[in-house]
Amino acid sequence: MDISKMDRYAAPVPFSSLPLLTVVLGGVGILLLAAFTMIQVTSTKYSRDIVKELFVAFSSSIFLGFGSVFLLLWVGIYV
Amino acid sequence: MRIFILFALLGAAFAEDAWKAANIDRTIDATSQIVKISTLYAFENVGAGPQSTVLVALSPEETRGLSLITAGVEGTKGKLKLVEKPAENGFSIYELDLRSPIAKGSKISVRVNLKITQVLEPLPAKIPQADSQFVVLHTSAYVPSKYVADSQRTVIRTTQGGKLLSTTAVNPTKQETERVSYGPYANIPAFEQKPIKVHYENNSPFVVATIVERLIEVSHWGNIAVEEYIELVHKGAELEGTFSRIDYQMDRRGRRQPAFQQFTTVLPAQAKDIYYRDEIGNITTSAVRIRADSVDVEIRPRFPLYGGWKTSYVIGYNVPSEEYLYTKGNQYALKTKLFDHVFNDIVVEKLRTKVLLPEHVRKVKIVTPYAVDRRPDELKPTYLDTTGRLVVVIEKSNVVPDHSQFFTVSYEFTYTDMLREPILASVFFFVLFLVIIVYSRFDFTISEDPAKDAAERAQRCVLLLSQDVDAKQNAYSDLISAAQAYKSNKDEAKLSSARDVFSETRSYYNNKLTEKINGMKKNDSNQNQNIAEKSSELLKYDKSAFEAVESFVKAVEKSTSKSAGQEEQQFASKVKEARSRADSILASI
Repeated sequence: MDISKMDRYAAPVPFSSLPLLTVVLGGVGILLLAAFTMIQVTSTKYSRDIVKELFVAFSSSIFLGFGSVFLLLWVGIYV
Repeated sequence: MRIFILFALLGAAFAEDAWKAANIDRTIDATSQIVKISTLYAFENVGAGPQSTVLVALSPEETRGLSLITAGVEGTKGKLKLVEKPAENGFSIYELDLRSPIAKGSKISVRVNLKITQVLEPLPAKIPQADSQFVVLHTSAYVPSKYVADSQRTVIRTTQGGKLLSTTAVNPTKQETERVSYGPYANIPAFEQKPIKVHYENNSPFVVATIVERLIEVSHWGNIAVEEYIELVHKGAELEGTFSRIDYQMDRRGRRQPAFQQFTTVLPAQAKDIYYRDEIGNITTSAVRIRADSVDVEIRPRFPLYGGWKTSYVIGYNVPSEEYLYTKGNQYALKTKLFDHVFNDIVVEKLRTKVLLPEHVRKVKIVTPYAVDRRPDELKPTYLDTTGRLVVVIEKSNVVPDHSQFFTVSYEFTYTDMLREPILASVFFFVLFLVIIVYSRFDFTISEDPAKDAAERAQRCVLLLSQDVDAKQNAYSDLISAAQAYKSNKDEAKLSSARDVFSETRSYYNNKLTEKINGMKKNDSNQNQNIAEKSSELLKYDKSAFEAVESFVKAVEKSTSKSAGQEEQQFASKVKEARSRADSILASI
């Protein structure tokens, strides 16, 4: 394809919004991580709820995953 | 076969040339380490018919260090196509495509530019620190030509203000300041040579980059990172004896010493996060100047480079992707420089340009402005990669600043493939969570602790019961608030519906509680029996609370006053009491 017919490729996430995204996503991820820790510490052999644990773990890992990628981009590691 | 070749050669020698050179005007610029030869040929068609190609010849010395050859019709823009032909009499022959045929008897002016590297020979080959550098230029007084030249002249430009030690005289020769002119000579036959030497002062540093490794890393998150690893060697006259920094500082020649002291690298205007370092670390003797259309990095190496000395460093920067990356659908094209400015008149022995594309690109195609050597692709795993990124490797030897031109890498990439990286990070975190979830389900106790076990079980029971008790008490308070609301608006329908809801939830939770308590009773452990007995009291208190609430609601219905009567307050306190009793029962368990 001819390059003159192509558009310039801009960043999908503007660099200026990376700090906010990192703090919000990472923050939520860490809060959920704390919730997960609380569940693990307080529950006993008879009160474990696998569904609840998996749900918190899953949502926390999604937030932490995206948050850490934006953190890498923010600090200049362009993955 | 041999006879045939002989005939062919004879035929070639005696064949009538279709062209003759009416005039050749050559300028040799030997002021820097690159010898720049610009030759203006006025060709005249003396053949049988129109001609559309013309041949130019390069002498063996020129061929040896040839880095770049370009040609154009004088007075017009645009370059002519050049094709290398088999050598004749030791001369390299290039065929120029003139685009439009030239009629018989017409003339055309063609300018051919040559960039020749590493042909100036330092003489003496070793000099002390205080001496200037002298070099010898070997060339021919006659311009190498495929055709007979009616008239020709050559001008050799030497260093401004530098000494001119000696020149070979081929009359007419004129030696002026900063230049030597040869000619005009009339009727020089084809391939005629007259070797000459020009020995002159040339203090421009003969710094050659033995390797320039240029790494262009494309990130679809919006950045293009460029990093150059450069090894420099001063290939001029070598330094003889010791180096004295005092002499260097006090040298009155200043910048005109043959040492390489500092230089300016021109980066693109959008360059940011610039770094300049070597094996030791950051080199602080550099400055960044932001200009209107570029970013200039003034670089001073750790030490001045004298003849024979070498240094290496890394320079890098980031550029936003909109500068060089183009897209349409899933088609992408990177248009960037194959070689970029390092310093003026640099000679690069080997240029290796690597382009790191994102993971999972397909159909990579490269278009370069001049012939390059494409090496096999490599895979480089970096951050958050699974299979590694594709690295396109391009090599080119003998590069001069004129090679700083754009090239295009086009490829296909699916936008959603970008999500791989965050998902990979998420999977990593999730695996950590899973490890904890599984680990916490293992039982590592060596001996059983029945008391602790029972306590945990009881805690579980209490938790389950308290949920129901809480829910039921909420239902009570809902009803009370509905009754209080009735006092003000006297809406009977609402009150009765609230009552229905209340009785429903109450019986639901009561059933649930009884069920749970019965479940515990069936369990044969003593502890559980105790809990069950205590908890059945919960139901007892519920009854009294229920009655209290019922009568409270009735009282509310009867009463006409809006303020809470004494009776009502009594009922309310009863409900509260029932609740605190339930709590105390749970706590006792």
